[in-house]
Order: sequence, then structure tokens, then C-alpha cells
Amino acid sequence: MELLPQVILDGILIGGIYITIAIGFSLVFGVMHIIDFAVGEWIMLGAFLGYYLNGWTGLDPFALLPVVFVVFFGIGYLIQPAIQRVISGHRGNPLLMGLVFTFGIMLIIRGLGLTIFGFYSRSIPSKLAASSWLFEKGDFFLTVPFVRLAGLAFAVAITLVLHYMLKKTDFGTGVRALAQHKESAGLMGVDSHKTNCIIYGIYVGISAMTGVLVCTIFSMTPMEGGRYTVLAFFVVVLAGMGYLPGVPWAALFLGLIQSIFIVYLSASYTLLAVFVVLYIILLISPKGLFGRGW
Amino acid sequence: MNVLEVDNISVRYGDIQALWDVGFGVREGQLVTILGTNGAGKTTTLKTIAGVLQPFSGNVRFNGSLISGLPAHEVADAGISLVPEGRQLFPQLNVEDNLRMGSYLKRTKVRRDQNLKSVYNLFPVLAERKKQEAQTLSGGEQQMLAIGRALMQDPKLIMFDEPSLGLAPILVQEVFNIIRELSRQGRTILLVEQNVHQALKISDYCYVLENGRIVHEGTGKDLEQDPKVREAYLGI
Amino acid sequence: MKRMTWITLFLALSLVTAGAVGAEAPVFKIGVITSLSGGLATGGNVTKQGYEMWAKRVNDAGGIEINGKQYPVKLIYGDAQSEPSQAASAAERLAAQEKIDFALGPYSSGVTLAAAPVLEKYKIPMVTGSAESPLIWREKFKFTFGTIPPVNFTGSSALNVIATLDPPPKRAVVIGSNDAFSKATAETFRDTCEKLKIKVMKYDIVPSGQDLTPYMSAVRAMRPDVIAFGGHDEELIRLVKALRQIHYAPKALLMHYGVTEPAFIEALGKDAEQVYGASVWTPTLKTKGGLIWPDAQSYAADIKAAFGIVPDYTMAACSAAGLAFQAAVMQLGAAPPLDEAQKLALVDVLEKLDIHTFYGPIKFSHEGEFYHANTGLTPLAFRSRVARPLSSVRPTTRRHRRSTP
Repeated sequence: MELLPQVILDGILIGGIYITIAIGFSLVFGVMHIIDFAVGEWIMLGAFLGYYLNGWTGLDPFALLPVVFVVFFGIGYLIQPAIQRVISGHRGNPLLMGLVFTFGIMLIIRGLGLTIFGFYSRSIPSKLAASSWLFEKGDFFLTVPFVRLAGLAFAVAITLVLHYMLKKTDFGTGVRALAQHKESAGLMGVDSHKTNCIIYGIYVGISAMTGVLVCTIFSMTPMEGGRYTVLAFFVVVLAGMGYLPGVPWAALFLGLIQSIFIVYLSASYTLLAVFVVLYIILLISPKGLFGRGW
Repeated sequence: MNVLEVDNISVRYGDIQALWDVGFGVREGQLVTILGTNGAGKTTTLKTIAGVLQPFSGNVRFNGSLISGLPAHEVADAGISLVPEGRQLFPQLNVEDNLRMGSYLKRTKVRRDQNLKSVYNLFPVLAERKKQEAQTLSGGEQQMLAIGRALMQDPKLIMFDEPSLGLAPILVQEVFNIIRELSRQGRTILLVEQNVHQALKISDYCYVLENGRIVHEGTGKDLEQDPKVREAYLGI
Repeated sequence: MKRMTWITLFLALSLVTAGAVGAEAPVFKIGVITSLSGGLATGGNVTKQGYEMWAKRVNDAGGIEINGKQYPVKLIYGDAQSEPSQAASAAERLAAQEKIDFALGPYSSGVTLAAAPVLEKYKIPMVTGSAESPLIWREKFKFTFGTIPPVNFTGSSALNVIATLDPPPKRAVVIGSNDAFSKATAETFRDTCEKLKIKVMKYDIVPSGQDLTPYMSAVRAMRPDVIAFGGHDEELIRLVKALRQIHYAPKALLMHYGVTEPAFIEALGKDAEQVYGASVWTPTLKTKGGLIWPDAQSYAADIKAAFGIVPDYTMAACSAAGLAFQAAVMQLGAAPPLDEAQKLALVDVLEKLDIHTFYGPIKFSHEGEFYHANTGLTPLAFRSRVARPLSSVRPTTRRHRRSTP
């Protein structure tokens, strides 16, 4: 039982990483109904930009986050019109078109990544990665790794900034209006084209920053994006497709069950157990934990 | 001098043509009505003016400048508001956020508090329901919210698309009272209706749309007298 | 008119080139079945570089000399995409369509297990430079050979060294990733621990890609002396980082693959220091070779010049696989293309092969659980970072630990 506090803490810290993986993905689905298969690839690209910037400048990866965000915001902003064009044509199911198109983007980025970055595993060093708080008293102990704590802080910060933007600013109200009724939003003066570009830019930017984070905490190869795409799907489906407020809770929930299962059940069946839990929840509530998704 | 000048517009949905050379004008301070049955092209006309649809031929001018070809958000910025058919509110935004969306544009943001106050004065029930999601309102309250949202836009021209549709008779009367009141305040209004009796009573000038073409026009009184209109629309 | 001229010119030119290819002397067509994409691409590309290096040096010298004539080698790639099913179809394509004389094998055991039966069917000999799972050799494929001994032959060496630490370790936790090779490694670690009277407190096979931090927190509470992990490089890097983050350093952290790999050391930096591993080759090993490279150092220098990296044992074993083929076909004296009888004869020659290369001795076992694996080698134990051998496991050799610079 003395392990329990550590298990819960580890679960929350894993959940923090899941928040950043999934929150931009959920935002984009909620606003423009694009399921972006390339989310893991944006994470991968961000990781490599972070890796090289760290190599050139020697700055700590957390200090590089703003730069990575700005670069990938720009990329997302510029690429969105192409996606919009594909999904808004009169070519059948827009959701499906978006899936196919982003699947293509994923393959291209992955191939290019392999060619440009090589096939080795990369990892960004950080001063934070080597330090942690340690409480120990008899059999009871609790370790708080700084780098993961910083990851959680980053996730909370991103969540709060997005919350503030969506709830408290006119732009955010416009984004919500656009998600709920595109035509009316246009009548109110919302430039849907520009708004979509900005939202997509924010999403790509957040995903790229997430890449820097996971490359600091774990490691990254150009082939690894798919793993994060799956995780993003998991969290977003659990939260309810497009229901943004559900994402942090779903992410923490996933992190916690993973942490609890790996310690108290068996490391061999943790992922299986996570799948089973996910399916049971979806069976009971197909619109996610909160019943508010699509 | 016409504030709004619709010059022979034709509109298509894919292969199906919905409007054929529709042309009319609205003068400053006038209340103009477009009458017609279902599928006559009334909504299409308003949507085209609002920039939601684009004509494949013909022009729309507003205050002398060309607005056809502009996207909806720029038409809104030019000063045209549409109260759409079926209200089309933002269902999960609360009442106040729906109204605030009305002053999304920079042009109107400066007068937001002032406009909000006057909308709440006009519709006290909206003030009571400020924090409620729009989808929880009754039909009549939703219509008031849709009108209030349009007023928040400080429009130089308000277009109403069948505002009485789906409302109880007592509410229909109230909606027409509101429109008449707005007209009395000197606002320029373009109204689309199927409720011919009520519409003819309050409008300064009317057009009758049939199968995408304008077939009659005249003042409310003239059309009330017109035997063809009486037969087709008033059932006399 | 002008366009027609161009087209005619182009056609003529292509005919000339085609003629030139057709008239060229016969070459040894060698199929390379390995994972150039997918989850195993990292290792797959290591094998590719090993095979490429060998082919390049052979062709630079004019080819393999058979009865006074030189025949170049041509590598034809089949991407296994890290999937056993893709490996089988790649092997099928290379055998049936490309009509290869010989095959160089995949990275990772699962993929090898899928490709081997296909080559068996077409009676095409294969030497693989990377297949360390005991499962492969238990299958007793007649046409498949391997230059790296299986992990149950090598894996115990590092543990034997750790067992001599002072004070001797008493308790261990053994974890393996969920694939054929890693599982076999973990099993070897577990069995060796038991043999050495080190208590295995926890033994788990985990799916790859999982965040093991909570698990490691639990392990830490058990206070084992040794953590032994069977897995591929990426997972090893994650594991070491996870331990670092929770500030936990067991007396010994034991891994098998990757410890000598430059990428591993680069990715982890100082953190790689506490890691022990087993291997069969390093660039500093003293070897004497007959074909192409006289010793390990000259091979390492060649790789460094070509790819800018320090070769690890897998890359070396792959180049050595090429050497094994080269030596065998020279002994056989058969010119390409090889017919079925010659391929069968080649298998016989490979079975009797006993050569010394820069990589060490190559001598394939004839029987038992190591059938057709290279058991001529002596496994080495390593402490990472410097990747210098701590000792060999031969009881006659005394352990000599070098201080880390």
C-alpha cells in the first residue's frame, strides 16, 4: 500500500503528457470536424526541431517551446487552406475526405522524416531530467521527477490558456460559434477561413511543443508518430469527440488506470486492460465519459 | 435613392437554378416585403444578399458599392444583418454570448454595452435568461434572441426571413409588432413572409416572387386590391 | 519534327544502355530482406549498412574471384517493413522474380522466422547478420545460417561478470519487451540468474512503447540489485531515462542489444554509463581476418569513412555474413547464376566453413539448439559509455575493468 501515492502521482504525470497530446487534436475536430491522422507526425516534427535547436543553441528544451510553437503555428496556418479545400468540395463525406487527406500528409511527413532525420532514436537533454524531489519515510516514499512535473505544468498551462481563449475572448466565442453554426457565425462577421487557419495553426503548434516534451521525457524516432496518434485518438474518444473540456479529465483518467494497472495488475496486460476499459466505457456511453461528444 | 439595389441576380444550386433575373430595391427607412410560397426563392434571395450564396449573374449594391461576391462576414461588416429562417442561434452558447456574437465585428464592438442594454430593454425576458444556453429557450424567446442578435450588429438594413414561422398565433402578432416598431424607429427593413395578411398590412412596398421570378410589385394597398394576388395569396 | 528526333534519340539511347546491361558479365544476385521502414527501421538500416559495406568493397576489388574470373555482387533489397508477413512476401518476390542466388537476412527474429521458410521452399541459402532469438535455430532451417550466436549463447556472459561484483548481487528484476528476440533475451537473463543463485523477484514481458515509469517506481520499492531488460534500443533509451527521472540507480542495469550502439550512447550521454551489456564484437576487439579486412580496427575505419559512425556488432556481423558467403562460394568455385545443385552444395560448404575474419571466427554449428548459428565466437561483457570489453567469459581470462575516462 505504501506504493499507492507514487502510483497515483505517476498516473497524473502520465496523464499530463496525454493532455498535451490530445488537446489540440480535440480542438480541431470540434471546430472544423477534421480527424487529423497526422497528429503524431506534427509531434514528431516538433520533437526533431527541438532536438536540433537544442543542439545548436544549447538552450533547455523548455525554453525552446515558444520558438517551436511559432514555427509550427506558421506551418499549420499555411497548410489549413489545402485541407479545407479537400473537405469542403462536393466530394462526398467531408469527414472521410479529411481522414484520407491527412493520412496522406502523415505518410509524406513520415517518409521525409526518415530520409532527413535518419532512423536513430533521438532524445533531448534537459537539466530538469536529472533532478527530482524525493520524500522518504520508512517504507513510504514519493519521487517527483522534475521534468515530468514541468510537463504537467505545461499541460495545465496549455489547458488554462485554451480555456481562457475560448471562454473569455471574443475570438474564442467566435470559434465556439463557428463550431456550432458555421453559416450564422459568418453572418455575425466571423471570417471562417481565417479562424480555421488560426485554430489549425494553434493545434499544430501545440502538437509540436508536445513533441519537444516527449522527446525530452522519452525519446523520438521518425517512425514513432503513429504511437501518439493512437494515444490522441484514445483520449479524444474517451473525452467525447470534439468535447474539449473532457480532454484533461479523460487524459488523467487514462494515465491513472495505466499507472495502477501496470503496478497492481501486470505490466504485460496494461495496454490490453486500458483497451478493455475504453471499450466498456464507450459501450455504456458512446459519446465519451461525459456524454457530450459527437 | 435606394440603399439596397438588387440588379437582375440569378442563382444556382449546382444544376438547379433557383433565381431568374430577380431585381428590386429598398429605400432608406422603407419596410419592403417579399411574398411568395414555399420554394419561390425568398430565402435564396436573402442569402444571396447576405453573401452566404453568390449569384452567377447580376449584382447587389449596398449604399452604392458592390457587395455581391463578398463573403458573408464582409457583407455583415458593410451593415446588413440577416435574421435567418429557423433562428439559427448558437445552441450551446448562452443568451449573452449569442448577443455578444452580434457585436463580433470591430465596427460594433465599441457600442456593445450600449446595444446590449437596449436589447435587454426591448426584450426583458432575454435579460432574465442571460446565462441560459440558447437551445433551452422557447420558440418565441429564440426568435427574440435572433432579432436581438441582429440589432447588436448596428445594421443599416435588417433582413427577416420568415420570422413568424413555427410560432404560436399570439407570438406571431408580437413579432410583427416588433418589426413594425423597428420600422417606426426609422430602420430599413427587408422582410420575407408567407403570412401575407400581416405582411401587407405593415409594409411600404411589396414584391411577389414565384418560381424564382418577380411577378408582381406594388404598395401593400395596391397588392391587397390586385385580384390576382387576392386569389393566389389571400384566398379570396 | 523536332520532338520525333528527341524520341528517336531517347529510344536509341535506351536500347544501347539495355544492350550494355545485357552484355555485362554475370553477377551474383543477392537478395537483402530487411526492415527499411516500420518500427524496426533503426536496426534494419544498421544491417543494410553492414551488407552495403561488404558489397562495396567486393565490387571495388572487381568482384568475387571464381576460377580466375571476377564476378561482382548486386544487392537487391526487399523491404520487410518490420512485418513478418511483408518479410515473407519480400522473400517470395526476390526468390521467384529476381531469381537471387543467395540471400542476406533480416533484422529481428520475428521477421527472420517468416522469411526463412520461403527461402527453404525455393532452396536459397541465407546468411543473416542479425537474428539472435533461439527460436530461429530451434526450427532447424536447412538453408538459414547466422553470424551472431543466439542470445541464449551470449546473453549470460554479462550476468556472469555482474555476479563477480563485490558484494555479489542477490536479487534481480527481469523485464522483456514483447517480441521474439526480447523475450528470449529476458528468458536467458532469468534462467542465468537462477543458475547464479540470484533471486528473480519479478519477471514481466511488457508490450513495447509503454511508459514504464510507474513500473520502475514499484521495482524500486523492491530494491533489487540488478535490473535486466531484454528489448530494442529505443526501449532501452526510454528505460534508462525513466530510471534517471525517478533518481534510481540499481547496482547494475543489464541490457543486451544496443549497449555498444553509438546511437544509444549518443542519446543517453552520461546516463549510459551504468549500463552493462553483452556483445560479440567491438571495434577494439583483437581479431585477424583473411578476406577484405585484416582486423576490427580497419573495418571500423572503413565504416567511419563511409557512414560517419562507429559500427556496432550487428553491422559487423552483417558484413561478416557477406564474407561467409564470399568464402563459401569461392571454395565451391561456382560462377553465377547458381543452379539448384550448386545452391545445395553451397549449403554443404557453409556447414563446413571455418574461417577467421575481422569479426572473429565464423563456424556454424551442425546440430543441437544452436544449429546453423555461429558458435565459433566468444561472447563479451560490456559496460557502456566506453563500450570496451570488461572481460570475456572464458574462465581462463581474468576480468580487467578499465576506468572510464
